[in-house]
Parts: sequence; structure tokens; C-alpha cells
Amino acid sequence: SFKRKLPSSTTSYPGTRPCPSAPSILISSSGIPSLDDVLGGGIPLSHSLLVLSPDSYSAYASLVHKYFIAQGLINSHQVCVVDPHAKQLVDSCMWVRGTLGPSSSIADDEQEADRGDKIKIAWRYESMRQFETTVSHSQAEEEYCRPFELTQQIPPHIVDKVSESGQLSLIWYHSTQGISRLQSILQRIDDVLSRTRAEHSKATTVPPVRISIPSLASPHWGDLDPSTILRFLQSLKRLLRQYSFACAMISLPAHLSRDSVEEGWIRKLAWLSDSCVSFAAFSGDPSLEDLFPRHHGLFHIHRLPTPHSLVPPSDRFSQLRGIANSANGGGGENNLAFKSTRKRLVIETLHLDVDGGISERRT
Amino acid sequence: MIPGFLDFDELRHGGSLYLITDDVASPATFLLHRAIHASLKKASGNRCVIVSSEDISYWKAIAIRSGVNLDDCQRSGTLNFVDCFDALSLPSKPFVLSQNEHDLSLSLLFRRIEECLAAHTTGTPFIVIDDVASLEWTGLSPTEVSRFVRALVSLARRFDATIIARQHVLGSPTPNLATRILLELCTVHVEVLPLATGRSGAVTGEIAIHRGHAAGRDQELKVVPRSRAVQYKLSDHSALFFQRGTGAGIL
Repeated sequence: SFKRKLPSSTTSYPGTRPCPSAPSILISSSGIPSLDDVLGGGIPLSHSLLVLSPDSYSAYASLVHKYFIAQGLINSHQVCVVDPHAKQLVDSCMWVRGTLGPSSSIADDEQEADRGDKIKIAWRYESMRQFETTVSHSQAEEEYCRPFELTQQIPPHIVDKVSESGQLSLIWYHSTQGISRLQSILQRIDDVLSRTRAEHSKATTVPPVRISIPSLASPHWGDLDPSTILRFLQSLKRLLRQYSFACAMISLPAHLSRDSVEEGWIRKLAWLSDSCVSFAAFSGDPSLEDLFPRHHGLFHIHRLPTPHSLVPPSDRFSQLRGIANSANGGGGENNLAFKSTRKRLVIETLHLDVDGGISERRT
Repeated sequence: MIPGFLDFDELRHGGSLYLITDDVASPATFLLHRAIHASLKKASGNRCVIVSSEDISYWKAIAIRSGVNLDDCQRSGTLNFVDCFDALSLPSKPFVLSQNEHDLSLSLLFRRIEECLAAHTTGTPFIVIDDVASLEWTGLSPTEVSRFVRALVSLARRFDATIIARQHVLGSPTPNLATRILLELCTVHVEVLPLATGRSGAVTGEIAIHRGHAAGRDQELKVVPRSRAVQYKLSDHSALFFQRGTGAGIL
């Protein structure tokens, strides 16, 4: 399995590590190991990640933001959440199990499926390793990406503690509307980042700052036309370039996460963000649910981060995408899908079942 | 490998516009870097003006991997960097998002480019416009963007400069106004395309070269039709070009 070599002189804050293809840039975990893999190791600092969720009946983008926030809080990163309901979002974040000892990372519902399959495997194949469709969460990686479980909720006393200490900032402007509010938010983010830089000007490392905007341009934000949203994304992207210790995750509501907004909308969003992915759930399409019963939606990559490079690190280091493995043979990229088990959100490679499936017999 | 392909050694001057169109699945950033590095490495005293909304640190990081130090070039005057984002923002409101047409204007950007060209009279000027499309996406009217493009070409003719402009396409069969203007004014149209079969580990994308409307009867212009598009594979700071089906011998 791939193992990254870190330069001996690397000094990075907990929860960050040098980008494998550009060591001068630090990356930080999103909280989801498989998403980190797709991004090439994590979210590069001074970059933005746009997470789209075009399905109106699910909230996967919000779930990804909770992972992002929880990962920041547990690693003592500074976290800013920009939303009128930021408090409710943070209170519902997942957390780690009480004791961080060795524990099974396989959820119970996944284990039951494995036991069912074992009965049908012929004896000559029993010794073979099971076909892996996602990256595993090794114990060595737990310092970088904590093993959050969806069954665990962040303790209220931790939320109170990080709020009082200033580690967590909830940003919203009720008195302003539309464009003025966007401007105020950008100014506030700039103030937070410049203050953080000033406070740690003599330190060797600066604690990373995570900015979460879980529902940009939702109805609470007022009337915002598409060009204003794009300008905001561009402005935020430029703002992050000035601060090497900050990163942002932004999401749009479902109705703004589709190409139907205007011509080439998703492409425009991708161009004006550093990276853009979407979790397209099957909730609105029963035919896809029947076709892919083991997954909850398709995972699309619109743009990947290229920190100080022409090629995304993901092309070389992502196991899920499979491009690195296919470089010599000229094969293509794997199709990806996601599922939310009882304990975690996972992105996996998507493969069509054998025609008829293993449980059906056709004559 | 195809020697000399798009190495930008023999550029036509006198206001020639090289239009590069790309898609988010196949960004043409590498071609812009290739052109800039080729221009700055020459000893003949080329002058380069980069107009971009991306921070200059990104350009520097890529250039240094190709052995080009943009800091030294700025100090010597062979490189001017015009920050498109700053030029379109008011000093008191660095992140202005106003829809007021008087707040956002390309006149200031145009004047800055003109100042850079007029600052030095030696060497052959070379203008790289990173991204024309986002000017329109972020609030400027199509009419103003197309006027800006026409004014820029006229400016380039006045200074005998070459322009390389990148325009993002959105997959529509009908190009927008700015793209139509650019196609009408360009001498060469370089089309960077993603693979029709999706992303691959061995090939990053394809390139086709078309004669622009302004090329006239220039017989020396080598075109590469889409049917025989040249394929390329990117590394961290450069690209390899090869004909279809010959990738195994190169890679």
C-alpha cells in the first residue's frame, strides 16, 4: 500500500501534513478518509472545496460539513461556520468513540453482508483477500483523520468549551441583506485570518483555520443572482491565497447544485473554486436505487485541487480513482459512488454486479 | 514525441491573437505556462505581461520548477503582472460585489495593461490573458467584455505585441458573444479538449489547432484538425505531446 514519505524537517500542525506533490503546501483532512484519498490526501490549505448535493431529499453536503467541522475541532484547529443555523449544525456534529483504542472500523451492517457472502464463496477462494472497494482507515492514519462515527454526537461540553475559548466562531449578519451581507462575511473572514496570523507571528506554526459555509445562497441569504454567487466564490478563493493556513468548504442548496440554474453552471462553479465534487444521491430516482442497491448515490469529481502544480496530486496518489494504477496500461478512471452506513460516510469504487446477481439463477 | 509542438518559438506579432479554449476537465493552464516560460527564457529580450485573477504565487511556483524565476524577471522588467482581481475591485472595498456598473469596469484593467506595455520600449511584448470568461461570469456585461477584447487587440497592434488569451468553454453548441469576438479576431485557435472516454492515466487530453479568421492566407500556419488531434500527458510542471496511438512509445 502507498506510504507517504515526509521530509525530516517538516513542522506541521496536528491534523495537517505536507502535500505529497508540493511539500510547501499543507493539506488537512476533511474528516472522511475516502474523500481525502480522492482529493490526493486532503484539502490543501489556502484552497477551497465546493461540495454539491443536487438531490433535494437528502443532506449529504451538510453531513460532509459536519465531518469537516468535527475534524477541525478535535485537532484544535480554528473553525468558522457561516450560517444562520450554525449552532444547530455544530451541535449535531459526529464525534469519536469514547476510547480511541483499537476498534473495528467495519459497521455492523457491513459485517452482516460479509457473513452472508462467505457462505456462498467456494472453498478454493476462501484464502483470497476480499475485493476492496474503498480505502481503509488504518490506525497510523488516525492522528491525521480521526475515526468519527455517526452514532456518536459531539458532547455539549466540548461545544461550550470551544465556543468560550474562541476556537469556534459562528458568523452571521442578521441586519444586512444580499450583497452587503456577503461583503460583511468576506470582511469578517479576512479579519479572523489576519488576527490569527498576527497572534502567531512569532510561532513556528500557525493553527489552521477552517471556514465552513454549509448553505451559501440558500433562501436565508436573500436574493442573490448567479453572477454574485460566482463573484463570492472567486473572492473567497483569492482571500484564501493570502493565508497559507486557511481552507474553506462551501456548499450550495440543492436547487443551485444542478446545471439547470443556467448554461454551464456546474462548470462555472468548478472554475471559480479550487476543487468541486458532488454527492448525487439516488433519492429522487428510484430506478438508480434498484440498479445500485448497495450505494446511496454517485460521487462526481468536477475539479480537483492542483496546489502549485499542473497535475492534481490525486492523479498520482488516489487509490480510489485508480488513475495512478492505470497510467502504464492506459486504463480509465474508476466510477465512484458513496453510501452512508450506520457509522460512517464512505466513497467507494462502483462496479456493476454480475448480470443476474449472485442470488439469482436464470435459465 | 512531437518535437517543437506548441513551443511558441515562432509567434506572429503585430497584434496577433492566439486563442486557447479549454474545458474544466482539460485546463489549458499548462499552455499558458509553456508560452510564458518560452518567452522569458529567450535571450532576445521579450517582455511578458501576465493578466490573471490567480495569485502570482501560483505562477511563480510552477515557473520555478521549469527553471524560470519570475521574481528575477519582474525585477529586470521583462515581466509585468497585472492582477485582474485587484484591478476590478475598489481600493476601499477589496471584495466588492456590487452590481453597479460604475463599480466594475474594465477601463482600469485596460489602462494598467497599456501602462505595462508603454513602460519599456525594448524587446518584443507578449501579453497573456489568463481568463476572459470569468470576467463575464462574475457580473460584467457581455458587451463590455467584448469591447475590452477588441480594445486589447487594437492595443497589441499599436505595440506590435502578441496576445495569448484563454477562454473557458461551457460545452454549448453556440458560443457566447465574447467567444465569437475572440474567434473572429484570432490568428490561431488552439482547442484543448478532454478525452471523449473520460479521464485516463496515460493521456491527459487532446489538442487541435485551427486557423483563425485573422490568419488570412497564411500558408505557414500548421493546423491540426480534431480528427487527428495531438494527445498530451501532463507532469507537475510540463507536458509531453504525441500522436494518437503512439503513447506507449513515449510514456
